[in-house]
Amino acid sequence: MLAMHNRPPRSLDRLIQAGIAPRRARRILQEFAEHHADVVAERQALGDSDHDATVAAGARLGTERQLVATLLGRPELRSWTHRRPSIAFALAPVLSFALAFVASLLALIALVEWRKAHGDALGAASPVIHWIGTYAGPYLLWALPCAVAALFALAAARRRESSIWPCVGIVAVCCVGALTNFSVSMSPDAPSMGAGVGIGTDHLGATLLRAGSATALVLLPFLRARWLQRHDLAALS
Amino acid sequence: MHASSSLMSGISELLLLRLLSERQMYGYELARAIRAATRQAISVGEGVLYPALHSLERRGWLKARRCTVNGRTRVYYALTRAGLRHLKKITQEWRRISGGVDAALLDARYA
Repeated sequence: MLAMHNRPPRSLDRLIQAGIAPRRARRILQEFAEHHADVVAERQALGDSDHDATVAAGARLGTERQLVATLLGRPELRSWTHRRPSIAFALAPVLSFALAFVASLLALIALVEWRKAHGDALGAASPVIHWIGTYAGPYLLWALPCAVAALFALAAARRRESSIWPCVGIVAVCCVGALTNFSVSMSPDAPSMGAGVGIGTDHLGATLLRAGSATALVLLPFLRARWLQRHDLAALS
Repeated sequence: MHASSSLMSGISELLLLRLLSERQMYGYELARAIRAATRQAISVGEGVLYPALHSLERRGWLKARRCTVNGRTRVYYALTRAGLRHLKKITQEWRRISGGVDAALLDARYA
């Protein structure tokens, strides 16, 4: 049987690099190995020795190298992210961040309304308002853009995609993230939340600093991971 | 017979869809079913099945389902409705083409 650990690791990498989704590439190689094992068992049941059964299975299935060559000749198996990397790794992260930002705000509003409906006064001393004032800002302004950018960068790294579009995506999300704002007013009578997106000349330095530091936070680990990945692939080939 | 690869890809698509229209099967079962159904007249590298199956799945004509049978993981393929429609279409095309070829072969002028 072509056990997973005996398989040349290059096959999986070649398939993924050619744009076949990692899950599909693993599944094809797994199915091929299972089929090989079935043919070997069939031949052994007919009285073949282990060696003869393995040779017969190889003759019937072909080699894994031939399988990979056949798969690479089928463009329809390539994922859309490979065919449209600019959309998948530059545009989609920005749209995803915008959606996540709006969804988070709606969740906060729903939380406040829910507490109100349950009779909470929601003054400045309210634990809910205190919690929102403490955590929502760092989450919306820092954690969310960094997490969205990192998730898409991770997906690109898993798929061995070129680094260009993921880098564009990271910079774009971090810049858009830096343009967002969120505040909680803790006035004793009526605490309020405010959020928006925009650029102001009076806070330009702070905005640029936010964009730059968020970008560095995601981009540097991503570039390092890609460098290590290329290093590993070069060592395998 | 070992047919040319371009001809085989069309035939294998037709055969796979036809066999899977009867019941769901996994790769090894399908390879055996092809040999039995074609009375061993068609022999393809069984490894070639997987690119074909995944291509059909990607086009929405097959759906795959993972099952564990006797401790082994099997990926069963089944025809979708779109696959059934496509099978009807390519079956008609195949009958038209093979009918034309038969007619030419049986024509005394070319015998």
